[in-house]
Amino acid sequence: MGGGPAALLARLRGDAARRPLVDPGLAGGLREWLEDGVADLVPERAAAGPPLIVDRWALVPGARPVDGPAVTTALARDLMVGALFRQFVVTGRIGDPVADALAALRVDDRDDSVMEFLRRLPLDERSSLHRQVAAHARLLVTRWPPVAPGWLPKTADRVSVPLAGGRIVLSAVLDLVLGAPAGDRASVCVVDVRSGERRAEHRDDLHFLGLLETVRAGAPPFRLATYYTATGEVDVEDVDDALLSEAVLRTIDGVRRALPAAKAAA
Amino acid sequence: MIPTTLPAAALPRARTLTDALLSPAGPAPAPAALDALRARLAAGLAAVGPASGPVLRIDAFALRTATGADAGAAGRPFRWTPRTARRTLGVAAVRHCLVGGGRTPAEAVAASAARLVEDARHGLARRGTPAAWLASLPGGARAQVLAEATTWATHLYEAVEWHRLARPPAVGAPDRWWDCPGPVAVALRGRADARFPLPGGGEALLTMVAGRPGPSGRVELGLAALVDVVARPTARPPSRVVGWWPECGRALVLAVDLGLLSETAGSVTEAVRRAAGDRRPGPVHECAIEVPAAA
Repeated sequence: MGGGPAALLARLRGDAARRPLVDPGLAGGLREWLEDGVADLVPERAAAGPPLIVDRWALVPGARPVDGPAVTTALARDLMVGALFRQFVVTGRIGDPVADALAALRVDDRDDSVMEFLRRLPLDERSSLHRQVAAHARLLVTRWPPVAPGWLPKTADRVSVPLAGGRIVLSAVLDLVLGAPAGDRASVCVVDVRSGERRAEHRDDLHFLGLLETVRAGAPPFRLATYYTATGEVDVEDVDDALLSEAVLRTIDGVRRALPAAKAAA
Repeated sequence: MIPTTLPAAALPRARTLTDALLSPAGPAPAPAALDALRARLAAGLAAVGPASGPVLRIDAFALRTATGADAGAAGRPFRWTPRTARRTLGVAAVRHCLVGGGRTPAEAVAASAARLVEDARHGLARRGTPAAWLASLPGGARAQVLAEATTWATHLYEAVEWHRLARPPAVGAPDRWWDCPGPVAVALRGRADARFPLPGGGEALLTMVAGRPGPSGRVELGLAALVDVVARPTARPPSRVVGWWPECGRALVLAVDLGLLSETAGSVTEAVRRAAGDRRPGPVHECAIEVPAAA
């Protein structure tokens, strides 16, 4: 699981010659499957309202999809560490990790609620959070490999897959996408970055990201990875039809659960 | 959501998109029909637009919010953020990638940003410009701007097979403006991320759009062509406009014909009518733009 930056990079990139050929009908087939699965859930007359946004949080049983994740210390840490990850991938350096992370949140108006949460956080909890962020940053700069610009890295890459004429939108942010778009062979690796502990459901999340990337790009990624900034470990999975099929079923199931919850909250 | 036109199974996507951009141009609309369209648009705007006060600027964002989409963003004051600054850095970066030197989008964004910051340090950047803003940011914030611009530029760089182009495209050329003639304070802004000269004359315009195609997607793309038609009456109009939504991997390829131009002109007039509000109310039917019979 461990190893230095070079070993980690090798796990993300794999052997280029052994990457699978792309089935040109796969992405379209998955989209049709998703469309069929949600077709009876939203009446066409409902087209005027805002779409139901289904993200990874909405797929969690019991979630309230309209609320999104509540701001907690864990979410704040995730966003701060995520910003540092993005900074390190793009610039190759981190200065004062807490100052850099706070500056990153401050410059983006979508993170205003997190800044407000941090302002209200008791001093001891804020200090603890800052210590955690600094520890993650230390590990990041020693464990994460430099990414060659030629691999065309994209960070915080947004994906949205509209279904049912746009009335349902599957949505995700890919923390890191490596590799040029696919031609005949799968060529992309998608990395999800986590600042929390390793959990079993992270695999489901990762498969959801892989499904969305497949439908968006017209070709599946050859590999999916979860990078844990607390330990520097990475879990990787090769993408195959079975993985994507499971993700379709789970997504349809999640949309079925999310829709009544969204209606009830409206 | 509007239907989009690239086959999902065709890979790589850039080949299909480049084929669509570079395919031979169809016949341009008749000059007389374009003259009639200009006159109708000017008359429609004169009927509904403000006669005085600040100039009402209509761009693709205004057309989107006029349909009710993205309504939350409509009243928000503009501020520089990684998202609002990414195009400025992104188009400059792609231009650098295309002139040679083997730069990648990430390297080119870093170089473009460094140049802007250097300009600001030497007093060459006006207040409120991206350069001045970027130079004022601490390292952590500036890194997010670079990251966002790199992702944007990489999407544009990956969208087209640039090596196939016989003539260099104009990437990130300045926006084009048209001030409505007469006593009406309305200006239209046309923006394309890249303009591709076509064999035999004419241009294809490519615009990369965030999110997913919405109800106003056609007219948002059509606006760049409409501004070309009204602002440069002696030039050949663009032959097609192509919208590319990298977030959902969809493209919309539209021939610039009288149907698209008239539909766009109608939406512009309606957006002006709404924006002008009670300054100069007018019934909707006054601003309808009909396709001339010659079409």
